[in-house]
Amino acid sequence: MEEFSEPTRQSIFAIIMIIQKRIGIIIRQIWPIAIVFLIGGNASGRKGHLLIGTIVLTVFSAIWSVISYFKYYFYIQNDELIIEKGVLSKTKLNIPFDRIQSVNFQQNVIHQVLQVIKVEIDTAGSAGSEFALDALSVEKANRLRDIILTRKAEVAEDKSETLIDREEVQHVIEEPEEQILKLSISDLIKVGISQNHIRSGFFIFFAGGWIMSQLNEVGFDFESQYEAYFENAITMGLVATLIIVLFFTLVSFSVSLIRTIFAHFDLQVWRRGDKYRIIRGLFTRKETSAVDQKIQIIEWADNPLKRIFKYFDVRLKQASSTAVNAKQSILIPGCQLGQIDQLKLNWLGDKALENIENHSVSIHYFYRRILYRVLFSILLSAFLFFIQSWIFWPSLLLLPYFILTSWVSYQKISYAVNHAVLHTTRGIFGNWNSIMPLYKIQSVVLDQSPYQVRRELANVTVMTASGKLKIPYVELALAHQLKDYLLYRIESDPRDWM
Amino acid sequence: MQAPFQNTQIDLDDIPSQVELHYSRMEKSYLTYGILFSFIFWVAVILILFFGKGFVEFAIPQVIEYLLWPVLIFLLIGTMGYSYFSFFKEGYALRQKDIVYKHGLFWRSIATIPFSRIQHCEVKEGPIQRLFGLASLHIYTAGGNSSDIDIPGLNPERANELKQFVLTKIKSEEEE
Repeated sequence: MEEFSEPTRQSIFAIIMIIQKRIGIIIRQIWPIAIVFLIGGNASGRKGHLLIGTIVLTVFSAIWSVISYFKYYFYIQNDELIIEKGVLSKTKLNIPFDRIQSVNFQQNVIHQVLQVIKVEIDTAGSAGSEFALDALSVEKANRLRDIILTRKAEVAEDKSETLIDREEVQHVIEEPEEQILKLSISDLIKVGISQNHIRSGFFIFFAGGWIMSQLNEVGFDFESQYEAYFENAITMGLVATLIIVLFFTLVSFSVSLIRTIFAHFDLQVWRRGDKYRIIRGLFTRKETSAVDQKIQIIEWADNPLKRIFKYFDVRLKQASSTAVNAKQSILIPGCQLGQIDQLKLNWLGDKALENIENHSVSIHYFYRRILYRVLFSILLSAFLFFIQSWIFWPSLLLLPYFILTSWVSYQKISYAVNHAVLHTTRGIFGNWNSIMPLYKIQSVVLDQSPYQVRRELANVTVMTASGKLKIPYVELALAHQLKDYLLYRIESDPRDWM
Repeated sequence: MQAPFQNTQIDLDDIPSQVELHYSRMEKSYLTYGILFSFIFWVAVILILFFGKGFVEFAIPQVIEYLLWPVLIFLLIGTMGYSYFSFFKEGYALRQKDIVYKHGLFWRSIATIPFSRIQHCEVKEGPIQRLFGLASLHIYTAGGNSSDIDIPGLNPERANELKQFVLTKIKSEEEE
């Protein structure tokens, strides 16, 4: 009899993982209160209450975790993965194999020490339809995944009623796995240095705001402290502001560097048959997989810093039932042009990239883009002039900035279509590329603003199962031709988009 | 089984074009519905403001009050006019392999969904639309909200016929 046909419990270590998860939740709930108690030391009697409360809560949730571990079973029956769980109310989940999109592995530090794996199962249902086994031994996890994926492939073949060569399936599995990319420590540091630090600056800003609002809620008074601080800042003047800006930049820089190292440590991309396996992470090792069929768009982007190192961030955007979330869009940083070419070749085939030629868009894209920005900057400057703010002079810089960025944006935006793929390029400081095979298009929209109606221009937008690609400001006749051609290609191609 | 690979050259003039497509209009009652809806909405706003301003405690500047009424009247006439003229810009068409829906007077849009990309479709009848004998056909794709289309202003029978037609088309596409 096949493995997992009997109701099976997870690895005994799952108890630890469940407890750890629960304690994490408790800490997230009560940390602001805890800080208040710890800092506002005088009410020492209450400290004891808090301690007792926390201990009771922790013990209770530990007991609950143990019980729920013993009440949690999974098994395989009739090509379905079945999960039975629940302490008080029982739940039985049936997950048919053909609904399973991917089986992903994750290991945090504790998992690594205990030699277990968290198995996450993504399905094609609506949002939140993912299931996880908190801990399975490494061998069991691998066997479970193999069983699910092999049976899933067989079920799919049976359904399409085409005769398959079992040998061929076998052949694919036995094919050796090929390493496509591996980031060394020095690569990783370069990737970290070339992150978008402005974005991590925002991240810190909002995280700080969140922490403060949490503390505010339990009675910390930040506002009076703000005021004192700002009064000081004004008297200290420019030097202080500079120091603060410098400090903030430094913090943003180190945060994005550390985040990159944590998330992408020892990144490896492997390929076997039509499937990628991506492993990464320092403390939490994550293993995700992506199948060619499920990938809808491949994107690669750089920025001025990345250009120095000749690195690109690559995103494999997979189809998802709801909006594209981070999980369905797999980020591979530190790819070089050669590796991107390899990815494209694997995914699209060598014939798909023949005779592809870039086209620019109408100059009206530039005019239109610049109009509102110039109007806005003039109005803003005028307003600042009248209220006699000192920001008036710096605000004048906005005008050349907008003109310059609009021009660069116009210069960089382009599209290319051939018999098989659509490729768009855009960007201001960086270059953002998206490529997709035409048969994965879901629908085509041609639209015009009143300005475009007058100038006989139109936008062509291509919708896919993981976002859209837009070709703006092309001549109306050409836009119609383009749309007709895309539709012809979609409708004459017998291949399934997924 | 895959068909042998072919890559013959395509003459761009031979590709079926949508430019001269004949679009079916929405029901006449959809026009009435649109105009009446704008009328009732803006008249209600005007009445509420007219009778409600007595209850407002702070003084409204004279300039705003003088400007307010012409603006509201303009919006009333404008939206009614928009409902009228945009009616003639709205329409849908079926081709052998796809469904096309266009709409918009100032901002125009033509959306096309191939039958082979439709996930499912449903007929929707709102309570107010039902008073006017109207229904809409909502067509879902895997592209999510922005790629779905909603064809309003159909009579319910027509909407169901369309739905049946689309469903059989999806089936036959799948069998191919």
